This record gives sequence, C-alpha cells and structure tokens, in this order.
Amino acid sequence: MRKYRRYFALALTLVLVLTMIVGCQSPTASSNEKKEGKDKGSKTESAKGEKDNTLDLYIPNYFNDVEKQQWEKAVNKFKELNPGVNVNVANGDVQVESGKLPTLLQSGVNPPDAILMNAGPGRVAVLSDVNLIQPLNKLYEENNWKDQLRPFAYDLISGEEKIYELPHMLDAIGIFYNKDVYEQNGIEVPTTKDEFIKALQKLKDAGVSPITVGARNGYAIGWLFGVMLESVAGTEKVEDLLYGNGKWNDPEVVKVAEMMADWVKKGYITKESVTQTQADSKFRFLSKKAAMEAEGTYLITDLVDQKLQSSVNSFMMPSFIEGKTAKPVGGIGLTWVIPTKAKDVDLAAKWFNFIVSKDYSNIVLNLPDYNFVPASKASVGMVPAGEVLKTSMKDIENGSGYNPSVFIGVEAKEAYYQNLQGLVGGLTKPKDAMNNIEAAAEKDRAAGFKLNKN
Amino acid sequence: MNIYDSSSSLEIDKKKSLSIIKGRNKIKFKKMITILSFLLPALILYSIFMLYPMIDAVRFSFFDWDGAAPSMNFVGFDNYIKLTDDKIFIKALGHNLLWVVLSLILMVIPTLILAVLISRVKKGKTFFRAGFYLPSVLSLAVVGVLWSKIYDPEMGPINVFLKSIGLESLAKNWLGEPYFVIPALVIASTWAFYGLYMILFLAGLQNINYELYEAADLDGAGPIRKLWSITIPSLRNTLNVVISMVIINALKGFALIWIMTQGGPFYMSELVSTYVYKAAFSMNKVSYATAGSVVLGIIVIVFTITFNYYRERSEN
Repeated sequence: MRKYRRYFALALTLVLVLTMIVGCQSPTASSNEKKEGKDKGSKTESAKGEKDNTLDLYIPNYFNDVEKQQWEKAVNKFKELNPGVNVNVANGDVQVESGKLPTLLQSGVNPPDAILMNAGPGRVAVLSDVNLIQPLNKLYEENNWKDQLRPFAYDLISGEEKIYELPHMLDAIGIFYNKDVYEQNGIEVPTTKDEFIKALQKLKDAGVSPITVGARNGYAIGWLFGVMLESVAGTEKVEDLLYGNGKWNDPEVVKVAEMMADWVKKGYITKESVTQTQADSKFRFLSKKAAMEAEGTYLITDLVDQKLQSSVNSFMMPSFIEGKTAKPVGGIGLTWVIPTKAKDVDLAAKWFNFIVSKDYSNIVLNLPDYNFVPASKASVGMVPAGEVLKTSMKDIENGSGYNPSVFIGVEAKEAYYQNLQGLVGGLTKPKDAMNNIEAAAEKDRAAGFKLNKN
Repeated sequence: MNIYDSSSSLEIDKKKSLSIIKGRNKIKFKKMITILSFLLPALILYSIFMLYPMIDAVRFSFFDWDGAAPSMNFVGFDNYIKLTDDKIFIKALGHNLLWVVLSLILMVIPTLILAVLISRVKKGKTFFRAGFYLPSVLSLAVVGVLWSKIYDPEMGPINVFLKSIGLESLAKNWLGEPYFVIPALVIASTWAFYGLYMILFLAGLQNINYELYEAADLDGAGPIRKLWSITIPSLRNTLNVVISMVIINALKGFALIWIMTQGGPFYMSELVSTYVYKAAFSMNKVSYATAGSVVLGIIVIVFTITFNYYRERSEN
C-alpha cells in the first residue's frame, strides 16, 4: 500500500508540474509551423491545410446601437465583396493612454489582424517604437494607398521613413451647440471673437452653463484647449509648436492658458468640469444643461440615438486673430494598424483596400447617422446624408487645424492632460502649467521624439 | 575475558552504533523527503508566481527597457537616481503615506467599534453581519463608479443634501479639490474594505472568554473600561493582522483611484501605483516603472517588518 502511495504521490506531483506548464502557455501560443507559415507569406494554414479565411478586427467600443449597426452594414458589404471571408469584430479600449492596447499587444494573446486605434504620431509611436505594430510601406506600394487617401491625411502619417498606419477618418473638432438654448437666449451663431465672448456672458447671465467639458478625461480637455489654441494662436503657431521649434511656454500659448483659466473664473467653463468625465459632460450637453461642448463628429451617433439631430449643430470658434478664419482641429482621429503578430496580413490589406474604396464611402456616407469624415480620397465631393456631418465635412474641405493631444510625445501628453486639468480646477497657474508641459516636451525631444510632415 | 574478546565486543558495539546512526540518518532523510514532498507543490507555485516575478522586477529596474524591445541596456542605479529627482514620484509617495495614515484612522477604529456593536446585538446578528459585509463583495469597478456619483459636485447626494439644508458653502467638488480628493478616495476605499476587517474583528471577539466581562461587571467596570481593558488587549493578535493588512493594502491601492480619478486632477491623487502604471503602459518606460514599484515594495516590507518588530517587542 505504502509503495502505491509513493507512486501515487509521484504521479500527482507530475500532474501538478504538467498542469502548471500547460497553464502557463498562452492559449494561442503559435506553433513553429504557424510561425514558419507566416514568414513565408503571412498566410495561416490550418492543420488540414485549409486556409482560415477569418479576418479579426479590433475596433473601439460602440457608444450605442447606432454605431453597432453602422459597423454591421460596413462589414456585410465587405463580406459581399469578398465571398468566403469571415469577419470577427471585437471591441475594446483603443486608446494608448490607458495602457490597455499596448498590454494587449505585448501579451501576444489573440492578436487581431487589424486594429482601429486612436490616431496620432504620439500614440502610434508608442506601439511602433517597440515593434508591436508593423510598417506598412510595402503594402502602401502594392496597393497604391497613397493615391487613395486625402493628401492632408497622407501627409500627416508619412513624415518618417516607415509608415505604420492607414488613416480611417479625419477629426473635425469644433464647438457643438444646442440650437434651442441659443434661440431661447436670443443668441446667433457667433462669427467674431466679440460675438463669441458676448454669447458666453449672455448665457452665464441667463444661468446656463456656457461650456461643459469632461476634463477628467484628458483627451476631452485637450479638445477644448486645441480649439482655443487654434482660434487664439492660429494654425501656423500650432504647426510651429508641433513640427518646428515652438515652445509651450511661448507668450502666445500662455495667453491661451490664461484665457482658459479666466473663463473658469468667469464661470464660462464650470469649475466642476475638472471631475466630470466626457460621458458626464456629453450628458449635460445633450440634456441642454450646458449650451456648448468642444466635440468631434463622434457626437453624431448620440444625436441620432437620442433624436436630437435637428436641435444640435456645430461651428468653429471664431478666430481671435484679425482677418483669419479658424479651422476645426483634429488631424487623423482613428487609424488602422496591423500588429506585428497579426496572423493574416493579406486579409488585413484586403480590409484596408475596402476602407479606402468608393464602396465603403458610399455605404457609410449614405447613412444619416454616420459620424466620421472618411480619410479616403473617394469620399471627397460626396455629400453625406447627415446634416451635422455635412457641416463638418464642409469645414475641413481645405484641411484642418491640429488637436495637440494627437501630435505630442508621451511625456508631454501626460503633462498636457494633467496641467489642463489643473487649469480648470484652479490648481495651477497658466504660466506654470505651460512651463510644466514644455519641460515634459523637452524630455520627449531628449528621448528622440520629433515630428516630421511631408 | 581476554583482550581479544574486549576488542571484538568493541567492534561489535561500534558496528551496532554505526548501524543505529545510519538508521537514524535514513529516518531523518525519509522525514526530510516527506516534509519536502508536502512543501514542494507550494514552493514550486510560490517560486514561479511570486519569487520569480519579484526577482525579475528587481532585475528590470537596473536596465533601460521599453517593455518590448529584444535588447535591454544595463544602466545600474540610473532609474533609482532619476526617481529621486522626479517630483511627481515624490509627490505620489507622499500621497501613499497620507493614504496609510488616513486608512488607519478611518478603517481600524470605526471597524472595531462596529464589530463590538454587532457582537452585542441580541437578535438579527447575521443580518447585520451580512449587511455590513455586503460592500466587500462588490467589485472595485462598481464601487468606483458608485462613489464617483456620490461625490458628483452637482448631482451627488452629499452635495444635494448639504445644499438642501442650507449648507451650500460646505458642498465641495470632493474629487476636484486638493484637500479633499485623497480623503474622499480613502473613504470610498474604507467603505469597500471595512466588511473584511469587521469579520476578522468579529472572529476575534468570539474567542474572548465571556467570564472576563462577567468578572468586570461584578467589579463595576463600565463599557469603555471593558473595551479598553478586556476587548482591545484580547484582540491584540487580530488588531495586528488588521493593521498590517490596512497598511499593505493602503500602499498597494490602485483600482479605485484609477477608476475614480486616474491620479488627477493635476496629480492631486497620484499614488505610486497609478504613476508606475502610466509610466509602464502609457509611456513605455517599463524599467523606470519597475524601479518605482521596487521602491514601493521595499517601503511595504520595511513598514510591515518594523510594525511586527515593535509589536513583538512590546509583547515581550
């Protein structure tokens, strides 16, 4: 009996060790066979030798059912054009700042074939610097994507030797306003600096919060500051800041920070915004508790979802520089990348070809609830069915301004978000805030971060 | 008996004692094997899942590594030197210490009092025990969202109540003002964890000999005297466990802060854990973040050892 007990104990120990070894394996750990297959031609072959024709996409979370239905329509069209191809769509957090996307890619577990992520060199570089995504230069050549993108979009992503992304849409961040609130207070859409300031004061006096912002989410306070920066300092100044030798503590930039702090003091931006999330802010705006919000075209699906299309529209904050017109800010909002460990690059390329095609633009722009300005050349000249998107597309016909959050390095971005929160919360002084951002940007420069544009 | 007889008997004795020693050694060896076979599974798990990552973390902290590059540059103590110069990291450490102090004040004493009160309840003890334990079963994500709404400056019940009774000046932006944000977060954290500590105290209270209270009653001791002279000394071991756990959890706190403030606004609630998370996963500074974690780990270990050392010394 004792003898058997020993064998039993030994067997149990072996099982334990084996279980641990198996348990520690990644569920999708690639076999050598698969790796070799990928190296040869980026194709996945099943054990039986059949080609696995499934495209795995990873895209942002749907904010509502409207967005879900839009994607379903686009995917169905792709399937119709590519018989035999299955598409798996997974949703998740696609912001580099939260750390989830880098973690997902670093884990190497179930890497998708293509990811639609929040764009910008400052974000994409976080993944490309550590080889989590692959360069697409060869695919650009093979598929002639350069000529299929709007020149403005292509220029923004092709400044470096290697291209890592295919722009999906262009941002057009401006001021969204509640038409009813404006009408009730006798306010017209402001076209000059004075009219804008007058409108803010009038709304404040009427007991309406003029501007709401979800400052707890750095990107949202970044939208508002980006819009103010474009209007007050102008596109050239921002370009110099991002691509040239401009400094964040330049007096003209500090002036914008002072203006933001002043607006908080005057009650044009509520001080409570500092702890408000973007979702809270959107709720305040859509429930007409606030007159305006700096937003992108993302808002359109919410407007459709809540049947508010006719009561909300957008405009760009007037330029504070005499004789100039301010453009909506943005750059590329969402962009496609291919993970280094993607299992089927060919299918991903097929999907990218669909994204830049006329078929895709036709499908999406004919949806009255579609909320993005496509980055493809095919979409130029098309008139979208939705009224708000029509306004935004018209506004960026000749290019857009810059949303700094998208273009700055990782150190500067963290400092940018925190210091702008500090400004709204009255926790820091404008000059100090800009000095802090400049100090962080200097760290990025020292680490080799430099933006180039075609 | 001749000399040969005695020498042969000596040899026999020697052989006997040798075989006894061998036998003892064999028994000792068998015992050792038995002990090891019991310890081995746990030891293997502990080594793989605890020791190895910890040692690896320390190793990473001496390199310059972004988390994915195939090569790492050895930089010695550079990351640690940079940390001493990093104002935000120092600020985060300060916030961690404040968090520990507030947690000890808000968690240990009120939870002990609550446990004593529940232990005195004659009817419905289970109901109260389960009721007060309920927050502990909620996920921290839920707790975070819940308390964010409670602290909402406009719609949150705290400010709505204060405004309704005319104390508008006391209505604050609890998560947005420098003096309130950390205490507000600690209160939310206390709410999430007090059930666990209360159960520990209740278990400790059940082990106190009731005759001590009866004797104290005969001597005319009041409730405070009984709490101070019987309950607290009898709960010494439980108190030690609870205090150790509160300190460790306070220093390691992450989820709730991440959900409620992400370390903001303007770094006002930045803790070492949130700071190193951002550094590692948003900025690709994995080795720098690891150095920060190692510093925090050392602080946790020093705190725990010092506390236990003083506890043992005072007991002796």
